[in-house]
Amino acid sequence: MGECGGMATVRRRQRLWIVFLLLAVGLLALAALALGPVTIQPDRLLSTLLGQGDTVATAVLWVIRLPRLLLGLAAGTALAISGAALQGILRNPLADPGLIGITAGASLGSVMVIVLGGTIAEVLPMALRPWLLPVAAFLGAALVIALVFSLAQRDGKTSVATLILAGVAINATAYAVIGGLVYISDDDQLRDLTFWTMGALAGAGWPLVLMAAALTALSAPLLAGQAQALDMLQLGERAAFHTGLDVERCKRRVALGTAIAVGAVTSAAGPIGFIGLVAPHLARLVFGPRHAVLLPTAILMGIALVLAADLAVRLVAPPAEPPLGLATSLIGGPFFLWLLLRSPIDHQRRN
Amino acid sequence: MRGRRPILKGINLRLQPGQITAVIGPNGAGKSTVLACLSGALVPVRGTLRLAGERLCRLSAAELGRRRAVLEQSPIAPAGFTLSALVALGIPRQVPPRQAQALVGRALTSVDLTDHAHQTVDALSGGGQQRAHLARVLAQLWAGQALGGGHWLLLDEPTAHLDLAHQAAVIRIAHQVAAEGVGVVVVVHDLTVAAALASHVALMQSGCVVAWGPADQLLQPVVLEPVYGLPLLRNEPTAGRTAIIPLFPVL
Repeated sequence: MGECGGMATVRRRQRLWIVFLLLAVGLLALAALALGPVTIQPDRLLSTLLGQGDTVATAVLWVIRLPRLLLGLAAGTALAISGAALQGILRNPLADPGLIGITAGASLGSVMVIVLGGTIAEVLPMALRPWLLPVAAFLGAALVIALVFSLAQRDGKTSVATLILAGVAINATAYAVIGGLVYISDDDQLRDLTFWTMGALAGAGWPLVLMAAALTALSAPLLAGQAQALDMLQLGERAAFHTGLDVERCKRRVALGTAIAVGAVTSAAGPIGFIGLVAPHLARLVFGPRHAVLLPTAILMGIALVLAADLAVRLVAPPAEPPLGLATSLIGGPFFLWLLLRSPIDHQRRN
Repeated sequence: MRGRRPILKGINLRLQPGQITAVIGPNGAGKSTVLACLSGALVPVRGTLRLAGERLCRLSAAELGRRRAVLEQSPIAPAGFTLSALVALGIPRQVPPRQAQALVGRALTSVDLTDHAHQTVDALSGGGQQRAHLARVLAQLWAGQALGGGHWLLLDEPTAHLDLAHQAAVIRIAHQVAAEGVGVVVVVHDLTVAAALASHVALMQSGCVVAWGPADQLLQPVVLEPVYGLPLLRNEPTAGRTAIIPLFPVL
């Protein structure tokens, strides 16, 4: 009986957390629209959006803040659910898209298009040109995922060390090539690149933001649909197969989903580090390891983190704005260290 | 095949529903590999495996999961999962939630873990985890039966890490399951457990089944001693209970 009572308390606490997270996301979204160099009173937001107020404020909302908010929602969603799904499939708590090099792959694809894409774009029909950047980012991300999964396939499990060291190697290689591309780029491209490579929600215009949001909306259900499969995979690949799971199909879907999601938001916002690591971990601490709950709550955590970090960089020294990637790394780096020191990650996974 | 060297060769077994077959033999004889072939996890380079006439490699993972359940050797306890969540992992989505919950309860009762249903698996002892996984496998088997399958139960060292009372419980469960018409294949090291469990025995050595037949004929020192390289003592069955004891050299 005592245990049933305990379960009820846990459930109640989890429900409170969900309410808290929804409120936090709502308030942060409102703040993202209202605050900045031009302050718009929250009660005037709707009328300003509809163009009934100050024209400058209306322009600020439509041109700057709305796409920025939408990209923040997409980035939080895509990075958090990708991180959670990758951690599930590799049975490895450190599998963050940034740490294991997937973001670097997407970045490489994007930088190639920014620097070398001019010539390719000329031969493409007008309708296809906006797709060039996200497709290149997707291809870069997919390439790295294929590499990581093939490393992971040796005797069915990946050691933390292999994964992280592979990430170090992939990141080093990708950023070396990116460095080379930056070196040969002209002044205009250089300006684009400098802001882009540090990660920012403000840089992208509507077309790219809509594309990132649409691709995230496409891949998130694909990944969320793997919740039960990811639970089964926690038994190990062989046992998951024994319980009736088509392991390879699950892996293919997660690879496809994360490559689309990470590729899409990276092409629009640049590399935003650590959200894919921190959000699933916080969600796991509060909501436990079951993916049916973990995936959606990690998304809420991811969105809250991205919006909060973006708000922080916007308000720290207006009108100047440090890049968002710096803020997430500032939260994520120490968190990563804490994680390494705190949890017996290595022996827990090896057993 | 491991590298280019075949692990198993020339194996020909016909397993019947309702029988318990113990696969015994020294380390590295290929017992677990036989089980992996029977489960469909490994596909033999030559030869075929049929399940009630159907070729095993033609069945999807989900179909296999419906027809047979497998307890692997030293299964992994997923961190943070409660016992009831772990046991429910083997139950396919087609089973309605209420029925699934009943199956979880029944499985936990049969391994004597009902009181721990809401505890996390990693908090249990090694033996407790082993029993929790056995409950998961039983739930999968019964769910399979509810969906028209659940014909085979494959167990790799199910009594490992268990105290004597719980070993006896595993033996009882295997007998109950077999009495319902399920074919049970068990890899075991302990020959006394094998004698208590099995109606049939497959004795393996270096990748071959060197003897296959009724348990009381095969579990004899004359048959076993050359394979294990140790003298063995078998007591005569008293009230259907047999013990086979290795005579280790004592210094």
